[in-house]
Amino acid sequence: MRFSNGTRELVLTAAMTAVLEVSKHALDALPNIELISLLVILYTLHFGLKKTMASVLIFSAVEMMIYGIGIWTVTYFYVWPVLVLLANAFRNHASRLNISLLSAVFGLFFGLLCALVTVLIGGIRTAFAWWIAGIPYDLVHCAGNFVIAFLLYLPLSNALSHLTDSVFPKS
Amino acid sequence: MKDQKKILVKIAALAAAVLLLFVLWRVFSPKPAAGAKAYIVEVVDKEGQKKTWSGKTDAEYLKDLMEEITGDGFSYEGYDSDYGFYITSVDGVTADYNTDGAYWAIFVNGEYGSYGADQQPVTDGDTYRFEYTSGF
Repeated sequence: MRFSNGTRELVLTAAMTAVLEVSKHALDALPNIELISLLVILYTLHFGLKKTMASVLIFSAVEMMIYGIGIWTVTYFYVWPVLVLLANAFRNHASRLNISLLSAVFGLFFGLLCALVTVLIGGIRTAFAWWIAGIPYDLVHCAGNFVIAFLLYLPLSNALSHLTDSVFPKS
Repeated sequence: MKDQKKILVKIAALAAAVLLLFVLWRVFSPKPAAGAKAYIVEVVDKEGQKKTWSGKTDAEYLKDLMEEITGDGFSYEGYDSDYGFYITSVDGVTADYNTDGAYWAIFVNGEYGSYGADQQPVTDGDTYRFEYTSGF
């Protein structure tokens, strides 16, 4: 059976989002150890800016449906798109080390990005205190992201290359 | 050789950023006071009923103090989240954010707290209030 490219893209975006959702909940028990950052980077590099942006926004909406409107569910709507844009900027420099460093830096400043929304709620002082209080978690996030990307970037990238070739064969 | 230098520079830049954040955290994070400190713990439940505990403690953080007074009629439940210790229940009353947006808010000397119970330092003479807060 043949499908149009539009159908393939729709199904692929849904599958990308489902994998994000499943990988988040699979590692929920380990605070700030996550696969989302690496997956978002890989998606951007393999499937492009548009599909990945759609996928992270749907993922953020699903998280909000599950957990309700809270500080962190609101932050997801801009935090993950920032990573998509950063990953896109690394498109021509996507070595294992560079991607591991990008993922680590993103983890390191994740709390700072999230604190931006608390400026609107409690002002700069509250946002600063909130960010500082979370720095130990950001350090864990940074280390976890580096190790995960360093170990998994190449094998997952190869797997996604095969997938891209089979879903969108070059004719 | 040139590539190796580039790699070292990148790793050094990450290490510098990590160090900077660690120093910021050491300098600006709230410091607990040492020694016996007077405290008042209040719990305001769903109906606005207040219960009070008071005394002296060596606990450094509020969560330690909560643990200390557990058994004196005080009880709590919660879990470690990405953003610190999240209180789900105080004094047998569960606040379920997913059902009705309710949560247990922490007030320190009457002001809305900036920290979770595991990061809120205990200082002499402070009043900590756990207040059932309905979101919707």
